[in-house]
Amino acid sequence: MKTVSARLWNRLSSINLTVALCLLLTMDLVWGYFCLNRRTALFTPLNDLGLIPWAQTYGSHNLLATGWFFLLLTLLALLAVNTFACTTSRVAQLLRAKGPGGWQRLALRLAPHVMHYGLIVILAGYLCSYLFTQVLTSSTLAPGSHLSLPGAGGQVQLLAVEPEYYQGERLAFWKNEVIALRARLLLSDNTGQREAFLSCNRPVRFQGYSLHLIDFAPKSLNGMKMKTRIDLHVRKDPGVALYLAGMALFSLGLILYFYQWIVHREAHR
Amino acid sequence: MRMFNILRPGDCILAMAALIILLTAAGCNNDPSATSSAAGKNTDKERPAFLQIGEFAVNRISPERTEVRDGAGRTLVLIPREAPMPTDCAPSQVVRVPVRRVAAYGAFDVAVLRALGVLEQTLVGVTTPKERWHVPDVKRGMESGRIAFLGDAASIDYERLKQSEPELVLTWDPSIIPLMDDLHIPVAVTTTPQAMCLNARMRFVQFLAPFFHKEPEADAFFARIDAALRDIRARTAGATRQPKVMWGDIYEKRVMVEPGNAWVGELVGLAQSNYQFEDVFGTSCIEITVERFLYSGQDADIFFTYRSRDMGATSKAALARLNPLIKDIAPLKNGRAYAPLPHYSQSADKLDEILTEISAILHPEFYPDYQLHYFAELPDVDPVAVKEKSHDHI
Amino acid sequence: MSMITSHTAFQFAAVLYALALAAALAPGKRSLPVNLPLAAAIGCNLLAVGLRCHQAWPMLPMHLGPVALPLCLGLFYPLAARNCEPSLRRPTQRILLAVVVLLTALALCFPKDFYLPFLKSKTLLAHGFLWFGVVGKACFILSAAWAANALLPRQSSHAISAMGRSHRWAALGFSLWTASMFSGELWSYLGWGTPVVWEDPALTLTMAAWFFYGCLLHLHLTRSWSQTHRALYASLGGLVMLTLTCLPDLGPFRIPFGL
Repeated sequence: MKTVSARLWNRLSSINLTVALCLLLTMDLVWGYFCLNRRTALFTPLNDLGLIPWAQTYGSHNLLATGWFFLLLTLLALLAVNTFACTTSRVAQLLRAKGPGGWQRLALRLAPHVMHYGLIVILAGYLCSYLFTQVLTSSTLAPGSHLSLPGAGGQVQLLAVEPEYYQGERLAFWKNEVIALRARLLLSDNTGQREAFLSCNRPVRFQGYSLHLIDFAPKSLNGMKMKTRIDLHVRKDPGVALYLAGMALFSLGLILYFYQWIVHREAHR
Repeated sequence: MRMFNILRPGDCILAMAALIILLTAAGCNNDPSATSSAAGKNTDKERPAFLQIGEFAVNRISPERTEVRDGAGRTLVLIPREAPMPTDCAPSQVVRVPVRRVAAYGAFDVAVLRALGVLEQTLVGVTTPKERWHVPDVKRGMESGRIAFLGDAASIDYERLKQSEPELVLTWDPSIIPLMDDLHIPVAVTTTPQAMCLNARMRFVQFLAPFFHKEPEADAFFARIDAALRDIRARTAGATRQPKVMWGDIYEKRVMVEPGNAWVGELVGLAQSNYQFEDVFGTSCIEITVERFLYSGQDADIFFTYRSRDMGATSKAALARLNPLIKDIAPLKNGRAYAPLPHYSQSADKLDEILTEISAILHPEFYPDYQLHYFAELPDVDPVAVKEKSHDHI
Repeated sequence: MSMITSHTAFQFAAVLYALALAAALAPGKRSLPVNLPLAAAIGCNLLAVGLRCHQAWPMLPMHLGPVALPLCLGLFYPLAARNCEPSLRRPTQRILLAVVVLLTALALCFPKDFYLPFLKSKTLLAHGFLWFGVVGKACFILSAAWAANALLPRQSSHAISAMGRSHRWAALGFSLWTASMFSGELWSYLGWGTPVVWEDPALTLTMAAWFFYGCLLHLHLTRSWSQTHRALYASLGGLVMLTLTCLPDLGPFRIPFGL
């Protein structure tokens, strides 16, 4: 039994498997480009629908155009397993044979493996995100109106929209268009009230939800008369922390790797 | 697993190249506008459980529950009128079907109601005043008081809307959603962030059909449009000359065009013509740079402007006066320019006629004696100006 | 009007890059005939990029990549082959210039500069996404150029040295590409609430290139891939991959020297 598991572990940690998976992923994603390019509307709901409902509807009804995506999921899962097995084996070896140079040297030698673990955490974060995220799509708020957050007992009220119109000459096409927008929100729950400012790339976090500004109106001083509104995506995404941590881990690995590289070069000189 | 151990680099490179070619070919053949194959499905006895129409979708969960995704990505739950209220969604998301009273913002929505044959029975409110309607059913309804003018879209009279007691509001403007939510009136957004492709435009009736239990009517409408498209394909198949077409306009210094993914762009290609903005992707009426518009206008043959006669599109000279920037584009100098007639935007239920008319404009040689109904060809100069000129001569 | 100026500046850059390539291919060892037009080309290219950025700032100019990539490669030209003997340096520099000329020709013939910038791109993350990506791609091209150099018939020590350089550029490119992807993901998260916005097909090619170069960086760990095979993978495969990543930034054909 032990030999079977050891053999399985060895095969899962094979670098040849890594190479094959990376090549297959490359080809699959190139295929995906052409499918996504022609059938963008098929994939847009993935942004808010979640993986399972999407797979049951858009995914399974258009397999010719979505097959690459399911293959991508399979390959990524295999790559995560392969990376874990390969990295863990190598890390175990490194830890066993620490060698001279102490912890600092070991940390530098672990740099690529930190990146590998970072990748696994990122993939886990994405999976978590696509499986468990709750999304309230296109929640629209007009000044004075409010939105109740499901299950949290919190309320979000839009107090005012503060647009800034471009008045310069440099961006001729942007004249009198909104160049910056700030939405003043009142967030209330059992503990009290607070004001928050929401803008294009600055979401507001409240009771585990993040509120993202997706669209707004009016966009122009002169254009079509539109009533004031903001469109939000309200999301509760348990994967965010994971994939952000994964990115941080990967970046740390990269920095260590380059530090090691520079040190190595200096030593050579 | 042995495969990976015997994997050789040469094989890998070869296999990779072959697979890329194969997969690319598969991706390219995957044409979404293959309406004819999709049309075949309509003859099936059983309706598909899931139907995607551009960015809209209809998902039949059970005979008692259908979930639809509107143009803004919101989910609405359709249940029979007598069914108990579902507990897993907000009341404003629930639509009891068949809907009996509808308020509609856009002329397109009204035209689709007409295509489904429910306009007279269900429409109770619009946002265009009576004098600007060209649809007799709507005019009559407004005269009789059955259809109310709810005020301009930007300044809706909510009291009047409430009095109209709509069970559903069809709109392009999501700003009414918060108030309608408070009134527990469901709202369906009927426009999408990306322009509607030809297939979506043809099938949009199938999105609204479950709201009224009018699926057979929607299928019949789709079949009619599909037949018109087949006719266009057949007629123009032998075209030896492919005119170059542009569709858009310049408002002061802002250029708006119909992108290549919009239904007009696809139709132009289908009718053996070249759409000058075929590569442009995005929302309907997308803004691009002036330079691109002028570049594409250098060798275009036909120009469709968004402007109607009452917006100043009375002649090529009038267009050039309105936008001196476009005076040198080829269609205004030695090509043809067309403006939509006032009832064009309210005639989406005559989509087959509109498609045929556009095809007739592109290839007049295949449509002898065709009379235009939805577009007007712009003369070089305004008739009045000609008159004045002749007076000057005298 | 200023758009035309940017276009014109790029047209000049294209001509000057071509002159530099012609001088590099000509017999003789003097570097001035190459460096002079190259410096002028870089200046024109910088002006074209600067104008495009100026017309969009603080937002992101759309599809700037094909115009910015030759600039990056031009700036890398002196760095590309530092501290190596001429017989090893010259082929790489020639390949690099040929790629620059090819890229400028592509960008001139298939421009996609007609989209207006959008409000959500008004963040440093968006600019980071663009510039890390462009510089990363330039490093990948250098890696491919060195790998192609390693395939030329000559002493094996030269090939080993060339492959070492190819590997280092690939590693640097991979890091910058990763930084670009992370910037893009953070931007997506802040703007749309999800790290991957399934609306832009280019994201799949970005990921494909990441896996392609991730694979390249692991090839030397296998026993079955010889140096020649790795060089083939990095040069030919890299060329295919990089061409694919340029696809989303290219528009329809346009007469390159028309206004």
